[in-house]
Amino acid sequence: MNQYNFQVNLEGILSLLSQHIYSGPQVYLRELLQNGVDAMQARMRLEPGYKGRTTFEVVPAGDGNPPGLIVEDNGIGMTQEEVHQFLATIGSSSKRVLEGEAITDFIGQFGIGMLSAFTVSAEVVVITRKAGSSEPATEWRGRTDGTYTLRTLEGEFSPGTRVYLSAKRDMEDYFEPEKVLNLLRKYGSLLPWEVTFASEGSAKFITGSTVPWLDTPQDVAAVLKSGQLMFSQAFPLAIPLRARSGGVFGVAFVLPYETRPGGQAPHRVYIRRMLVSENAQGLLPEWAFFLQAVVNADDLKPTASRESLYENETLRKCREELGHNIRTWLIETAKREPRQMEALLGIHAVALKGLAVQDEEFFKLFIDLFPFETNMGSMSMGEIRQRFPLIRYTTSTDEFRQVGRILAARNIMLVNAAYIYEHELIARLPVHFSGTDVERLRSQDLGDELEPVPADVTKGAHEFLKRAKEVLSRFRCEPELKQFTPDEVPALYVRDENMQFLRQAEQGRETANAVWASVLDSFTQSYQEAAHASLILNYRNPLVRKLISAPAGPLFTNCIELLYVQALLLGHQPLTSREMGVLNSGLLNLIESSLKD
Amino acid sequence: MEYTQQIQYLKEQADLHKERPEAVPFLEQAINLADAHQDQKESFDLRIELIQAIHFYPKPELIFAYFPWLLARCDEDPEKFDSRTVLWYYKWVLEAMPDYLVLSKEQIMGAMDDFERRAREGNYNPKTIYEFRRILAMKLGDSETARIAQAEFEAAPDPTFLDRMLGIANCDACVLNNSVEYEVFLGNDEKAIRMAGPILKGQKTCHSVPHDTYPSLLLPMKRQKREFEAIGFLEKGYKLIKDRPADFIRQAECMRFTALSGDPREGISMFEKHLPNVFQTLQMMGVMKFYQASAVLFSALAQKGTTSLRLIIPGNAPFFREDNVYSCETLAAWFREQASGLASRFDVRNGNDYYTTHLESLYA
Repeated sequence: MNQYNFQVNLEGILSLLSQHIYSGPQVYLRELLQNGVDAMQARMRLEPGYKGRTTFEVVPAGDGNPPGLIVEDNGIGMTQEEVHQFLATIGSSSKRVLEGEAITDFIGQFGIGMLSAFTVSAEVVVITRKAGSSEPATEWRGRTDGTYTLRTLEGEFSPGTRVYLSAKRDMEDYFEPEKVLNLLRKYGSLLPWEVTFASEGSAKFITGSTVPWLDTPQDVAAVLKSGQLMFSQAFPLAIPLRARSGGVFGVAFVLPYETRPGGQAPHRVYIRRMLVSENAQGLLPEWAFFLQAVVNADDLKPTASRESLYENETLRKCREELGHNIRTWLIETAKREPRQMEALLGIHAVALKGLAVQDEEFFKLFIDLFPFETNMGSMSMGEIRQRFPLIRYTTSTDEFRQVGRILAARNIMLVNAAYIYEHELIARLPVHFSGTDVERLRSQDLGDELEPVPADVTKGAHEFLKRAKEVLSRFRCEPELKQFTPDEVPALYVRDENMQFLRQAEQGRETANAVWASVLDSFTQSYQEAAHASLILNYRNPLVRKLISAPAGPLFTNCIELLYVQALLLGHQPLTSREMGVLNSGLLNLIESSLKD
Repeated sequence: MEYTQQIQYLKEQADLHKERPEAVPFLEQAINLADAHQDQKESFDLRIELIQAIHFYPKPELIFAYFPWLLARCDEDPEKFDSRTVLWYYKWVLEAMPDYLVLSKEQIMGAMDDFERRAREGNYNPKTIYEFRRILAMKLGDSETARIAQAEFEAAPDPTFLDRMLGIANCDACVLNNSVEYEVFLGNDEKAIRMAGPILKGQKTCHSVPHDTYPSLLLPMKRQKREFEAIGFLEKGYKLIKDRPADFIRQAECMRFTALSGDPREGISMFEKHLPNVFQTLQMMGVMKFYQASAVLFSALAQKGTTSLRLIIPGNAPFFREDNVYSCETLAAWFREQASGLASRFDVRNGNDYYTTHLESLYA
């Protein structure tokens, strides 16, 4: 029996990496940077006091050669055996598990980071010498066809590693100096090592600058300024972020514009000071959609591509802690800086209402600060509760628009709770505040809120209402007699959502084919009993008063039907064909009647 | 304010409440305004938005009030109104129809024939037609018709790139998910799980997938003794559907699973969260499955020694109690009876005994 080794198709692996793991060829720079950082860290463990340095040098194209890149670090380096093992064996990592330190990412764990260099370079040359070893330097040359050579080098080489890349065809852009510099800054500007970029005789430091949100978080102005530079927008406030789970340290900027639930601003996450993602998901709780964060995490795990956060127990706990962090800051700010909180509420009332729905403590502290739309203008809940022990609210903007003005004339306050979270918040008020009661106003209850007519009028109008009911029965509408201002409005049409369904179904049925007419009929039957609509006639209107004493007959029927249609139009209800017919024939009948007279 | 400005305001409000139930009333008001001003074009576009928003509304039957008008506009003026768009949403309506007991089998099949006629007239790839015949047959408990439709589906040519871009073919993720659900329907658990591989690996996704897939595989995974993985599916799947108020069927699947394999306390939270919507809807298929899952949940709690619980139940529930304390056995019995009653009604409507038999198997 013969034993064989698995053959690896390097091109296939590269295709897998580039199509399914990495976001683009540019990540090769991050991988090389990470290798340099790992090498320097490893050397520091052996030599405390050692100063790590990594240099990236772009070599311009010339003499028929494509552009190149030389990456040199003075890290731990490798022996020849280690080169065989870690550079030439796919799936073998040089990231050792040392005491108290675990391999924390998949790429490092499986040793495939270096392969990213082959996405941009047909050949990769590595010259390396192990620190603290007398072994000479080793040169390794690997090619995308899966072959490599290895030789021992004569001469003096300082400990560390040099990597030489040469641009593949169509990959020259990724060696363009400005691009390389920008990418290095993007990935590595926070690293606590000396990283420089050199090109055409000049050198620039990538690292070493103060990062306010990380280095001087107490300087709020500087933190806000750094946020502006980072995210290209000015933020009004910054919330410090700290979490033990994940070792997170950073800041969340309050967005300067209103945002909606479900949205997530792109958070920037560094892991051990290397940029992992500019659009990390899952860092903050869902309700924190009004914030944009930048953090460094020492113990969060990246995904296989090292470009986002791996959803595990640590991230979940981190998210909880950060949520608690933000809530505490909001609560403290409300107590100590009410003006700041007012400014925050002015932009992010929706977001904070969402938090109040979920968090009882937050609800109790903030509910009175939240603004609500009422028929007496915008008011804070604190003001509403103070002035109105019974809070009436509607969840329909349509109803609010129709009756709000009328109720205001009776000094009945009505809250428009049609907006997100609002009726949930209002419904909770009685649970937390004993002197506050709430009542949801449904369309069938609206009549009860309007001023009743005197008892003698009710008695005298009994016949009138009976006749009106007969006329309106074919429209599935009940008449009511009330009085309200403005006087010139003779009638209001109010309906519930079931009637909305019926009206739409009727409208659809007018032009539906046989299949769908039958379907609509089936649904209509189901909704009939539950649907409710009223025509609330206004006793203060002169025409209604005349109608009450008008005799039965075609003219009476005509008038009631026209009042009904007029109320529909006032209420922005579309007319069915039947109602349109009533309008046309009704008007003509009235004109004829007047001409006869 | 001009009506167009009012409509714009309402659309903005609907957009601010995107994927929330609050969006629907704003869109309904906008449609009323457009209709009142006989602005058919605006009304058409708004109805399409509304149909999409109904996904997140607790009364999904609303779709039947607004959809037929769209079809009629396309028939009246095919130049002005895009029939392809309407056919796309016809699929959603068609798939929902068997869930409603108010509709007869004849009405459902009448709509399927109408859809097929329109699809063929539009020269759309016929694979979609067979896919939906299969879906309807499954929901009507008719395995023989489903089998025939499946054979036709397999024999039909795959949609081309243009079919996908310009036609009415479902996306790959939905097609695969629907095929997975067919295998679950047949009881081919192992095959269903295997077929779902690309979905479970995140290679095929859309607005409904893997939302639908995770819950539908919970029981098959349990039957295949892969409960540990299924617990992961429960977590991921429920997170995707918990804020879709009308997704009663998936909610029921998640709730049932908590009783059988997971943490029944999680099931109680689900029960309290979704029950209010269950009492509001006409979608009796969702109601039946929710009731059945509730029966399983409360039976499991009773068996584990929980005799009674304090629960938040809506006041209009037939079994509502002022003291909010409910006996698990009593609740289990009530839900079982209700579910069984609905199953019988579905069977009478469909002309077979599929749901009665199927529900019994879920208690095993």
